[in-house]
Amino acid sequence: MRDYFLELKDLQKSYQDGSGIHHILKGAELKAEKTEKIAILGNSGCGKSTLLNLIAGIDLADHGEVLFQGESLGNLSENKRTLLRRKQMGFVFQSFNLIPTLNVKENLMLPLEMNGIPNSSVIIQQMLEALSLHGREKSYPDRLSGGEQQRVAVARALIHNPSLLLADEPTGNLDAETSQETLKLINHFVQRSGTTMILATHSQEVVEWVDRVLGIEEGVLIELKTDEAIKRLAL
Amino acid sequence: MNFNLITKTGFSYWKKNPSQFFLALLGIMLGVGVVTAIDLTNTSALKSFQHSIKTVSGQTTHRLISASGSIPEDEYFFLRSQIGIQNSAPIIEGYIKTTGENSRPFRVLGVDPLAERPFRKFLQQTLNPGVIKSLLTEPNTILISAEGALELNARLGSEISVLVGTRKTILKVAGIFNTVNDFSAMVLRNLMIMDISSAQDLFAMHGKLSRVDLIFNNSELEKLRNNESWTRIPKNSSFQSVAESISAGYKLTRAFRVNLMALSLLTLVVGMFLIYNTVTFSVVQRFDLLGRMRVIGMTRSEVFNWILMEALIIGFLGTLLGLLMGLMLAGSLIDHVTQTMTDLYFIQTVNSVQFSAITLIKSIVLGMGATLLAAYLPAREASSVKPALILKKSIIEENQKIRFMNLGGIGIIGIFSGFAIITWGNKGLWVSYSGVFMLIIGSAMMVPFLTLVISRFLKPLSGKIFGIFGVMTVRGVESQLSRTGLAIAALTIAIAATISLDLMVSSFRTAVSSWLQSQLKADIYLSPPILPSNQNSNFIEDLLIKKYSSLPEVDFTSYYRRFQTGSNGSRINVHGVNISPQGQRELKFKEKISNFDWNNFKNYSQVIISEPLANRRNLKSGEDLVLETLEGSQTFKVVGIFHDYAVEQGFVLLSRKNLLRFWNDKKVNSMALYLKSGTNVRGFAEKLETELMDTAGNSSYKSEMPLNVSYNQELRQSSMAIFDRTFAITSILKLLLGGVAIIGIFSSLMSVQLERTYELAVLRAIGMTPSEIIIMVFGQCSLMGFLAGIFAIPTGILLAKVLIQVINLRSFGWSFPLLIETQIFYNSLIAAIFAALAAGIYPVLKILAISPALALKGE
Repeated sequence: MRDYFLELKDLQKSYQDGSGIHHILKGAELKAEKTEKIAILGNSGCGKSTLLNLIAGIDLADHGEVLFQGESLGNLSENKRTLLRRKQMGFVFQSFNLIPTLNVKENLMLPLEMNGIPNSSVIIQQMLEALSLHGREKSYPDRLSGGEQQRVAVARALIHNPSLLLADEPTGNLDAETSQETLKLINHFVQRSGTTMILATHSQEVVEWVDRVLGIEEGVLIELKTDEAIKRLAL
Repeated sequence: MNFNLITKTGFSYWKKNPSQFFLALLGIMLGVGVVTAIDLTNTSALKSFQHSIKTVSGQTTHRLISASGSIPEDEYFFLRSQIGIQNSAPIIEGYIKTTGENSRPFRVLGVDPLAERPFRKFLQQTLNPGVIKSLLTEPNTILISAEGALELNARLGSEISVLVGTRKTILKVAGIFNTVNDFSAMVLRNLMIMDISSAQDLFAMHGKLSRVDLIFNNSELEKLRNNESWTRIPKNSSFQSVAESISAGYKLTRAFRVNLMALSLLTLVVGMFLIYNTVTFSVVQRFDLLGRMRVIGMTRSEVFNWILMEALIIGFLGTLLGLLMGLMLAGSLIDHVTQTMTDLYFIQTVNSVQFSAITLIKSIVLGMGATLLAAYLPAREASSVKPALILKKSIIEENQKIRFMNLGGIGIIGIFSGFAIITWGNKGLWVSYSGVFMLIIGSAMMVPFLTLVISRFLKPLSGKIFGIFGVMTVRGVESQLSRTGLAIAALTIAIAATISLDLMVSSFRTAVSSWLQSQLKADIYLSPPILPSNQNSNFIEDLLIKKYSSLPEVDFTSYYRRFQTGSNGSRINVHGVNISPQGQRELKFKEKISNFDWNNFKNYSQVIISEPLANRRNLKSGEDLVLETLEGSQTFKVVGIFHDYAVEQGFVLLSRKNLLRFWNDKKVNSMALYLKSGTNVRGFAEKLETELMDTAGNSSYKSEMPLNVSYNQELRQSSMAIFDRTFAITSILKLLLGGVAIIGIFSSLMSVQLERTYELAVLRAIGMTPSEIIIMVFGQCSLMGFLAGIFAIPTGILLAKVLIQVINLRSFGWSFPLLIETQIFYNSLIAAIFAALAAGIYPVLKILAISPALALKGE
């Protein structure tokens, strides 16, 4: 049997709150190759964030398996999953989630320090120049615009050369122009580093440069053709 | 993992929340400070006592003492000539009091100047031929230290007027000795030396000695024991090493010291709770940040270590500050402790704090250990933060509610476990205190759950009364339970601790007052003018006894004799007295044999013992007690156990008839006169005083009277004054705890309200007026204060019950009922509400000062 870079097998996940049990994922399946770029579309509340959390090992599925490079995340201890995420994955959020008490440079240093990667200053300088944030190293997140914060968040997610990038509606809080710039940045980094990418989005532009587009419907993943995807987004 | 950035993140949090930082610091500082102060004070007092004995004993290694309190002179000669102990010195020891306005007690040591050379080096230079000649040939001549002379304004040849028991005497200064250092000066400043014959005259101990001081090592003692003449040493005499004397003194004060230490540990426990609370608060406030760090890849153990490290840094700083605080506090406490020890046990003249490295090390270990223990649970909680939870704050609060409900259950288990440990665990103080800690933590764990339950009931009620604002007020407390619950818990525990101390002291005070009422049934009490701690060795002269007991106004006289004797290898206090009919009626028995009869007690070998003695020796009514008498060991039956709060080592009460029968001791330490019905007690007392003043030579000072005359009311008042002085330290602790409670709630509430800046800005933006905001914020604060005050009441009662059992029964051996004084609760409730209201002032001012527009933008 062939090992895919990332494989989801019959993934099921529910949540309970005051109004009852909500079945978010009801058997999601996916097979992704290394360096593949995948976009996931879906209405609000359909389970995009849940799916990304399961892939990242932040949460565990009720049923099914997430196989990362042939290894089932469910078989790993919480510690091992965290270390795997630290080393091999990068996560970009809609709400940026930078560390508010660290400045730009320190936010970028964080993954490098955590992974014990040396010569971090050089890497960070290169990254800041690539992000056009040279001169803003000492600024704190609350002093940056939304676009700038998201650029830093993207850089933080990729600075340690993870093999997988997960992005949960990274342009959700940005205006159209900034969204375009951010997505271009993501595309640029991902292309250059050969990182596999799974990106949840509403952006039409993304659909045009990814390798595959999937949608979540009734808790399962379905393959979408490009024009079908564009039509959905137009709605 | 490199912690540099994590450290910076942590540092930023504490920098932004200085009040939380200082609260945590204060918690550990207070606990360590009070424990250090008490330990240093106790250690200093004991060291002073130890050095005092060693200084006065000089080179003495052993002492020959007697169970009866005095040794026949012949024994000394026997030791020297028959046993062959050359390094031996006869000693008479007693106490006198100078007369005049600044009357002071002095210890008098009667020595043989010719035998003294090997013993007390501080006398060697002074004991020149001229001085020796004066001591030997002139009666009532003394040597005094340079410091003592300075205080009495005396020089060579000066005359000093003193009271010896009931007699006034003049002593003449024949020599002044110098001391080698400041400490010796302090110890020896209340010492007078005189020739032994003069001392025998002074203290009416002709043919007797207080003891014989000896110098030999243990192997010499063994050799001497093999001497065939050894068996002729009387059975009621024994050899006691100087170390044993010191140890006896330590034992005497053990209960008092343990009591102080136990109270200081309560402060540490409250301090630990503040650390727990503050660290938990910091975790709750950083859930979001922790979630982000976990998403990026920080492991659980790294989060755990991070939070623990922060706590340890705070603990380290707090401990250092606590040590400083302890040193300063010890300086002011030492006077209280010295005074109490003098009141209750023995004269303590040294009142300087002595640095002890062991105390400091103990305090550091305690401070860091307490921090680790207190921060462990919050650190664990931090490490369990799920990364996914950063998505929704409402999920955090929802989960916290579930957690608080579980905690409520754990809290009940904690309370029961604490009780179980205290009730059935071993009786050691540390074990008992771990039970107290569990009680406190268990109670604190229940607070958020109880707040939740009460809020559910209060919401509709306050809605009906105050409309939507009423609902919002209560809802505000409920919706932020992860924070408000902690704030209320912190205030609850601190107030509960002060309630428990108040209840313990007031219950004890009531018990003592009621006991004094039952004990002091006579109208007038006569005793020599000396300290209570030395009352055993001062007697009323026969003439005075006959004179005052045969006055026409006197109906009945009780004669009291107090002494120590041997019992199963240790010393025991004995009081011989002819108890009056009123005294017999009022004696508060804890238990007695079914066929108890006062006549049998008077005539047969029966004794009644006090509760502390019964607890220490594990004796019950009907059991036997062996006492050393002049005729050797004698078995007495314990026919009853009575409540007593005067003598914590406990004592045996036996009839005067048995005293005379078994000890042939007619001496009287004090007398109680029962006047005939209709006699004007005050008038009679004044008449006695006037007569006694005349006897003293028309002196204007009461301190010169040969006898103290006290009414029972006066005695009660002075006893209660000693009680209040003894518990003055508890009042200081209570103030500290109360201060911490207020700072604690201030800090927590402030943080809670400041976090709501955005929410309140929205309310202002949609039309809520500033005064409505003020009412809502203060409404929430007072609700939280009210809840804390209410929760503190049962917790405080529980703690008080435990303190009474742990401290008093196990330390002192006496028991008393817990009396609930509702005024204490009202005061605590009002204090809690006011503290909470005060805490709301700054946040309200801050919130009103911010422009709603800026607040909405998050600036």
